[in-house]
Amino acid sequence: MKRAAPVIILIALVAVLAAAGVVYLRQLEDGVDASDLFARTLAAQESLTYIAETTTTTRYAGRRITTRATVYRRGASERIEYPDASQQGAWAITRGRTTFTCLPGQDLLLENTADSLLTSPQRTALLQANYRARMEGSDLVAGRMARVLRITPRKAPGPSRKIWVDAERLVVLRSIDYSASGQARTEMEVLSIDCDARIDAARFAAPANAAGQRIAVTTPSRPHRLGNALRIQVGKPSYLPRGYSLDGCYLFNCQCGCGHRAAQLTYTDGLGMISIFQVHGDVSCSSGSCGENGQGCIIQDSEVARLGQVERGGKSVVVVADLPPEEIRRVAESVR
Amino acid sequence: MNCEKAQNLLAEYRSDLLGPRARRKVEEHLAGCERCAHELRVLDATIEMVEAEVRSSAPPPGLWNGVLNRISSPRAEPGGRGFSWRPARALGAAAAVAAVGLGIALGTVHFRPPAPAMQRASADNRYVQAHAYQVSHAPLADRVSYVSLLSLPANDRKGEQHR
Repeated sequence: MKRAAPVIILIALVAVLAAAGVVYLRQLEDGVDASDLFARTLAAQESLTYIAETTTTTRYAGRRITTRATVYRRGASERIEYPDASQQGAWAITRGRTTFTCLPGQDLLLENTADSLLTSPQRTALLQANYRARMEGSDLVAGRMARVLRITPRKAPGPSRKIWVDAERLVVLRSIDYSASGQARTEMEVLSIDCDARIDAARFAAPANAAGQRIAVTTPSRPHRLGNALRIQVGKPSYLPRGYSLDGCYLFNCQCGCGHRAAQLTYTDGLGMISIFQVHGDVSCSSGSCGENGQGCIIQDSEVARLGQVERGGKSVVVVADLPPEEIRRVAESVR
Repeated sequence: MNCEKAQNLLAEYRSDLLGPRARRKVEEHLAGCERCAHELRVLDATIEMVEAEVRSSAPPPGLWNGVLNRISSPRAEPGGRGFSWRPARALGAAAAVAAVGLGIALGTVHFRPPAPAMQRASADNRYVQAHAYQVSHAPLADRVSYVSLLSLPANDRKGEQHR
């Protein structure tokens, strides 16, 4: 029996090494490491240049809405034009952290600034810490060879994403965004792409003369400043799901033009996001499109995210996230 | 999943009692089957009607806490004497035990502290829109799709009442 012990240990060691080898080989396909490709794709996004014709499918109110879009991309600048009549000539320009969205049909020009407290490497590290990438083969998209990556949470449940990455240029040629319940939420596919296009800087110019009422929907701020402006104490939640970090702090202005304002704190785990809005209990949107006061805990469901609203110490707390209802409620009730 | 199986699971799906896998299968089926989606809407309408009726005969506020307080409060023992098996007292004790049992049963089955009410939100909700803006700036986010949702005409963004 004593002689057999080293043999058993040796066999166990070989089995462990073989299992590790199988796991590693599953990560590799055609000599490509999924984690490495994922990291390179993330790093490349800030330096891409291309013009692409795309089609998007968004789930909305149980329906599928399909729209075409032209995307002009040069580094951190991007212009998206929606030529379909159903979009009424809408376009969006992103310059660094600010996005201008022109909605001619609603006579609005919305300005939104996403000023993350996390640096780009920190966000990337957070994404890689909370999500794993897995290769799902290769595919041809818009005539270009693409590697298919599936990005899933390391801890279930959570949102996930499937992306088709151009093998040469690292452009995302196709993507499907799944909700935590596994339902496809949005889909985007490139129909044709010109990766050597020269794009005039004027295409990304700030739209000073754009028609419509201009509203700064989200403006970066700090909690104490927001507290003074909104007559509330802007508190942080004492409970958050694992893996989430504070990402941003904003003054939110209701785009309906009623003057309704709120504090917005955002938390991210790299892919998923939690928004926490706080507003004085006496103040609400006159159009009623930001929820209603005085009704206890209300949970609302939409394709984009789930929304939970509670009344806390003279203020309304609204949590918007792709989380189960009980988690939304727990986060909302933990806000001090 | 076929229609028969999906329809058998609709009530559990609506009550959020299905596991993630079964839930996903039902959702996939509903996305492609108008007949079953219609069944779900009918079920929604029926349950909402019933819930509206139940709400009108809801117990008075504080009943649940009252029952809990009565259960947990220490009973006065006048004179510190032991329990007597006189018939009237035995009857009273039996009634009390039955009442407490009934109270617990009713409290557990009917008078649970209210769960969060669930509604279908319209994408018109400005908080959801502001959230979508931030999501669209996440690494590798599908900005084209998120912005396309926001640019839909208002009459296209009405939410649907279901769970």
